[in-house]
Amino acid sequence: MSTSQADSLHRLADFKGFLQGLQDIGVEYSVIGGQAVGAYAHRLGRESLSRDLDILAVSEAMERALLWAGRSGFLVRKRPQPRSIPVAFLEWEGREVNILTSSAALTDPAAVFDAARFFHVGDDLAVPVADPFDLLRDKLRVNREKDRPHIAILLDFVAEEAVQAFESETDPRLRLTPARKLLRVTGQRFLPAELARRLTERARTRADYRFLADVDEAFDPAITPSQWLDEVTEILRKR
Amino acid sequence: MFKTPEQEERAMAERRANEEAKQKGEPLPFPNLWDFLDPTKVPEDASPQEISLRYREFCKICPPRKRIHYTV
Repeated sequence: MSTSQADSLHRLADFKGFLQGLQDIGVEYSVIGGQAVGAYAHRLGRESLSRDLDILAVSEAMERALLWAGRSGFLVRKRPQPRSIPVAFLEWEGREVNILTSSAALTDPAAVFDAARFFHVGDDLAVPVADPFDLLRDKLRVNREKDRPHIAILLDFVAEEAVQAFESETDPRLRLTPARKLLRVTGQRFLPAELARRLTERARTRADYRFLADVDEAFDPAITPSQWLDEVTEILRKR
Repeated sequence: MFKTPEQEERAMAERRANEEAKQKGEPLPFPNLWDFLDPTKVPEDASPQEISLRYREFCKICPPRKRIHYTV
């Protein structure tokens, strides 16, 4: 592998051939790491490139992938060893692919796959990318300096989901789901101030006001419709 | 862990009463409360084809969770 290829940065679509192969042999996996963050960054109109591709798979899926990779002529640089970190390193067309069966906070690859979102690359390839909340949980658990930009992107993405839920959902619970998940994943008591402000602008339901009274540190009860003011005041009092 | 011994004994007693009624061919004294919400329910001796058809009908009422899809 040349130095320029090793140092070059890639998008998820740059691994299309490899991912198509995994799909064709029916391997269940989830893209995690920098490529996953890049996929969500793209949805925000931003770019976040990464040198390699990290995928999370159950042990059996990793074995099938390695068998296929070997037969397809890809260079398997390292296989998972007993009693060590379960990771395999491959080289595909000069690009590095890492296959993991566990990450810091992603310890159940099957569950991560079940929650993964599909990014369609071309007509035939649907790439499972780990749910942004799962990614955020994982990044926050590791919390390396190099992960800070990724954490920022993921926080922005899930914040947009929270705002979109307030814009378009009618079910009182579904309106609150992304914001609640954000608080659970980050372990914060209150929403980020800017997000709280944007949600407050869009508050409509009784559940919205009750929720915001609890998690918006700067919540002003004066904005509450009169029929809910008593219960919102009670929530503020207990906070 | 989640039920008291009294709650568990009540549940087991209801199951025994249902089993006795079923063996006698009588209506269940403690039917499944969800049955009246599920018009697709088939008898226990339903054929595989009937079960397959029932599953498709049931999914119209209670569809599997949808994945989120994006286009790159």
